[in-house]
Amino acid sequence: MPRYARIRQEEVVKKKKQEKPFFSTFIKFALIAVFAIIVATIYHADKLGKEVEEKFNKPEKWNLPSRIYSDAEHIYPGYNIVQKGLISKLDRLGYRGMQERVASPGEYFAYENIIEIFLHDFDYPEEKLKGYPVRLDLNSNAISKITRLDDSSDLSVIKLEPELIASLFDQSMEDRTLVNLNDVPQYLLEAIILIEDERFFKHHGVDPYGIIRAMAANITAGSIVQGGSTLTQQLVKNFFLHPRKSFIRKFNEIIMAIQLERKHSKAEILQAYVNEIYLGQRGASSVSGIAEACRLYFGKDVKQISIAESAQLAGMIKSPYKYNSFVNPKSAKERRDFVLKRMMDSDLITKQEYEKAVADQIITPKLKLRGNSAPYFVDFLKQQLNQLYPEDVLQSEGLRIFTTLDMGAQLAAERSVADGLNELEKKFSWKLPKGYEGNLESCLVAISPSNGYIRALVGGRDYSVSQFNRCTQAQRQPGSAFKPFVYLTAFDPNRSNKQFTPSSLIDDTSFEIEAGGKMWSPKNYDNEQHGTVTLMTALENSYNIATAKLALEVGLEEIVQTARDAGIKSRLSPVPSIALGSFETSPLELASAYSIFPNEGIRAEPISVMHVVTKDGKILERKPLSMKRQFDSAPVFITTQAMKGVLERGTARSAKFMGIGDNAAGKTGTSSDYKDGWFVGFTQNMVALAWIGFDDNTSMGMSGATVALPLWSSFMKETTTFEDRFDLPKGVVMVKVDPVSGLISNENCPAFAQEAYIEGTEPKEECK
Amino acid sequence: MKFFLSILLIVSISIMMTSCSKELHTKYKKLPPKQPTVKTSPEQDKKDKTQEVDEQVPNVSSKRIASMKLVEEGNSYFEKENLLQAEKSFRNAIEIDWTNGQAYYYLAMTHFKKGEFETADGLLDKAESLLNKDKVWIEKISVLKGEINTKSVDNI
Repeated sequence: MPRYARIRQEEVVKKKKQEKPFFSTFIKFALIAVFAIIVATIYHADKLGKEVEEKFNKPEKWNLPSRIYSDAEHIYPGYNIVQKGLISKLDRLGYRGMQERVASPGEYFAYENIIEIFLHDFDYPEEKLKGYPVRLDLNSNAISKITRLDDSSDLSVIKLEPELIASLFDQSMEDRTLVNLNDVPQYLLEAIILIEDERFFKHHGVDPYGIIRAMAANITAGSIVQGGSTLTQQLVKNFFLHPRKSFIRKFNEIIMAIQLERKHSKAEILQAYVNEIYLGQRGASSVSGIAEACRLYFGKDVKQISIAESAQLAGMIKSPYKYNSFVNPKSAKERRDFVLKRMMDSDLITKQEYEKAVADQIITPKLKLRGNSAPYFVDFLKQQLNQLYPEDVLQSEGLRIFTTLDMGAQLAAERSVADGLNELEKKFSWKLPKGYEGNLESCLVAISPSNGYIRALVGGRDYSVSQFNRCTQAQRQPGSAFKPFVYLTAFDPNRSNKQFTPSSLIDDTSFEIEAGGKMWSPKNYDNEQHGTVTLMTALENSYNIATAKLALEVGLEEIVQTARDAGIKSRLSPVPSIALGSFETSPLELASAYSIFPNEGIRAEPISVMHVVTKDGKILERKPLSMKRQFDSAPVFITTQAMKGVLERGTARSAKFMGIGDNAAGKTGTSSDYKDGWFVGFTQNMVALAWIGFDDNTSMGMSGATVALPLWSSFMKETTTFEDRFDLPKGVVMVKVDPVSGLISNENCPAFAQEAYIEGTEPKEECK
Repeated sequence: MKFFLSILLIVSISIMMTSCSKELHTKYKKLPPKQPTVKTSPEQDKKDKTQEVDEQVPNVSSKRIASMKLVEEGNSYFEKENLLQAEKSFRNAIEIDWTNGQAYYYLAMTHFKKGEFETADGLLDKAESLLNKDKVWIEKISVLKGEINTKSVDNI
C-alpha cells in the first residue's frame, strides 16, 4: 500500500476511533438511564403495590357514617291521614307517587278514597322486615280498612319505617351504604360494565385497545367524548388517588390498576367499584356507591331496582350532574334510553324488556332539600352518644341509632317556632325593647307522658345562626310555671302540712317575710290585691301573693320534695320565693316534670334514644322504659282540673280562640321583669312546653300568655286531638262550685267551675 | 253417584261453617272488655249523649284493636322466650294506645323475666292506674308485684 494511502487509512481509523467513544458513551449512558428508570419504576410500582394492598385489604375499606332515625309510625284503622300527614311522610321517606297502581317497593298511589303503598324493606333492631303492598281504604280522612294486596288478608296494624333524620359523617362527607355484589341485580352490573368498561373481563387493569378507541372517537368528534379508563383505573383514581388531572397521577393510576388486578379478582374489584363510585350530591355530602344512589334517585333498595333504573344509574356514572334526574330529567331520560339501546344491542335484554323500560317514566322521590332535620335534637343526641362512643366511632362505624322523635311533631314544632316568633315580632314590635339588636329566641319541646318519649325538640330559632340549645342547655327561671307544684303539694294530704282543696280560701293581700336576711314581699302582676280568694282562682289567675302564702302554709321543704319527685334536679332552696319559680332549670327538665300530671302521678323518665345498632345488626344499646309512681293520683287529678281552669277562665283563656279543645290543661309562666315567657300544657297523650325570651335576659315586656301560649297552641292544634278526657281516679268526686266562694253552685251563684275533690273533702255548703 | 256427591257437598259446607263460626268466636273473645264511661255530672252525661260520633275522628276501639294485635304478637314472642321482640311489640302497643293497661302489664312481665325489677314495678304502677276498675287484672298485677318484691329482696 502506498504510504499516503496508509497514512490516510490510519487517519480514518484514528478519526473513527475518536468518533466511537462519544456514540458508545451515549449508548452506555442511555442504557444505564433506561436501566435506572426500569429499576425506579419497579421500585415505585412495588411501593404503590404495597399501598394498594394495605388499603384494599382492610376489612373496613370505607368510613361509614352513623345514621340517626326517627321513631317508626304505626298505621291502623281509625288513623287520620290528614292530621298525621301521611302523604308528606311518604314523600319524606322517599316513596314515589305513581299515576298507577303500585308494582314495586317504594311506590304509593293515592286515588279518591284509596291509598296503595308498597312498603320498603327495612332492617329494624333484631328484625328484618320485607316490604309488601297494602291498600288503605278511607272513610273521609280516616282509614277504615287495611288490606295486604299480595294475599288479600285484612291487617289491623302496619308499620311505616323510621325516617332518616341525620347522618354523622367524617371530614370526607361521603354518604354511602355498603352493598354486597350478590345483592346487586345482574342487569345493573352488566349495564355498568357495558357502558364504562366493555372489556372489563379481558384486560388486566389497563386496556390499550380502549385507549386507542377512545382517542379515535375523540379525534373524530373534535372533543372529549369517550374516556379510555377502565373500571379498575376509575376505582384507583377515586379510592387511592385524587381526581385532579396530572401526568404523575395518571402514571400512578396505571401502575396501581395493574397491581390491583394482579392481586385481586374481578369480583373484588367490581364490588369495591360499585361501593365507591361517585353518583351525585345530597346537600353538603356526596352520594357514593350504587346503594345510596338508589335511595336518592329511586327511593328504594338496590336489590329492587328495575332494568330502566339500572340503565339510568349506569348512564349517570359518566356525569352525575348532567344526567341527574332531579335537575336534568330530559338528559337523564336520553342517556338512560341510550344505555338501554346498547343493552339490547348487546343481547343483555330482550326487545320486549327494552320497549317496556324505554316506556317507563322517570319518577323521582321528593328530594329532601335540607341536610339535617331536627338539628338541635341531633346535637342533644350526640352529646349523649359521645358519652358512650368516641366521635371517630360515630363517624366511621356505620352505627344505626333509633330515636323517639316523631318527625310529624318535629316539623310542626319547627313551623310553630319560626312562624310564631315572626308573628310576635311583627305584632308586638312596639313592646319589644327599643334599639335592641338581638332577636327573640325560643324553645319548644314535646314529650309523650305515657312512656317519656321526647317527640319534638326545637332549641332555637335558627340553627345556622346559633347552635345553643335553649331546651337542654339554657337555665332559665320558670316563674309562675312552677306554681302547679305548689298546689299539687297543697292538695296532697300525705305531703302538705295542712289539708287544702280547690275551694279553700286564701288571702291575696300583701305581706312581708324575712328570707335570707332580707325582707321579701311578693307582688301580683297587676299590682293589685284581690282579698280572699279560692285556691282555684289563685292558680287560674296566677296570683303571686296568694301562692306565696299557700307555700308557707304547705311547707317549703315539702314543695322542694314535690319538685324533686316530679323530676326537677336543678338546685332548689326551700325559700319563700320558690313558690314563684325563682330558681333556674332547663325547659326540658320542666316539661318532663309536668308529665306526671297527664300520667296520673307516674313519672316516666324522658328518653330520646331507643336502640343503638351496629351495621351488622348487633344491638349495642337498648333503653328500656323507666317509670315509677311518685304521687297519688287523686291530688294529681285535682291539680290537673285546676289547670284546666287556667285555660277555661284564667290567664290562658285566649287559647280557646286559638283552637284549643276542652281536654287540655296547663299553666302560663312569666319570670320577674318579663325575662322569660312560658306556657307548659298537656293533653292525655302529649306534654308540650314553649319558652320565649332573649338569650341575654333582656326584658321582653310581655307575659307568657302573650308570647308562649300562641306557639304552644299552634303546635298542639297540629299534633293532638283533644277527645281523650283525663281519667277520674277512684276516691275523687267532681262538684260544680262557685269560683268566688268555693261553695256548691246554685241559682244564687249560677256561674260555676267543675272542680275535683278527694271524696269527703268536697264542699257541703251551697251558695247563699 | 249423584246422591253420594250431594251428601259429600253438604258435609263439606257444614264443616266450613262450623270452623268459620269458631274463628269468629275466638276473634271476638280476644277483644278486651269495654271500659265503663266515667260520668262526672248531669251536664257531662247530656254532652255525652248528644255528642255525635265523628267518623273523621280516630276511633278509640280501632286503636285498641291495633294495640291488642301487637300485645298478641308480643305474647307469642314471650312464649318463645324471645324477650327482645316481646318488649318491642308491647312498647309499640303502648305507643298506639297509651291507655292499654294490658300492654303495660305484659311489658312489666317481660322486664320481670329479664330481672329488671325496678322497671317492671314502675310499669305495673301504670297498668294498675289504667286497669283499676278490673278486679281480675288488679289481682294479676298484685300477684306480679308480690313476686317482684320477693325477687328484689332475694337479690339484696
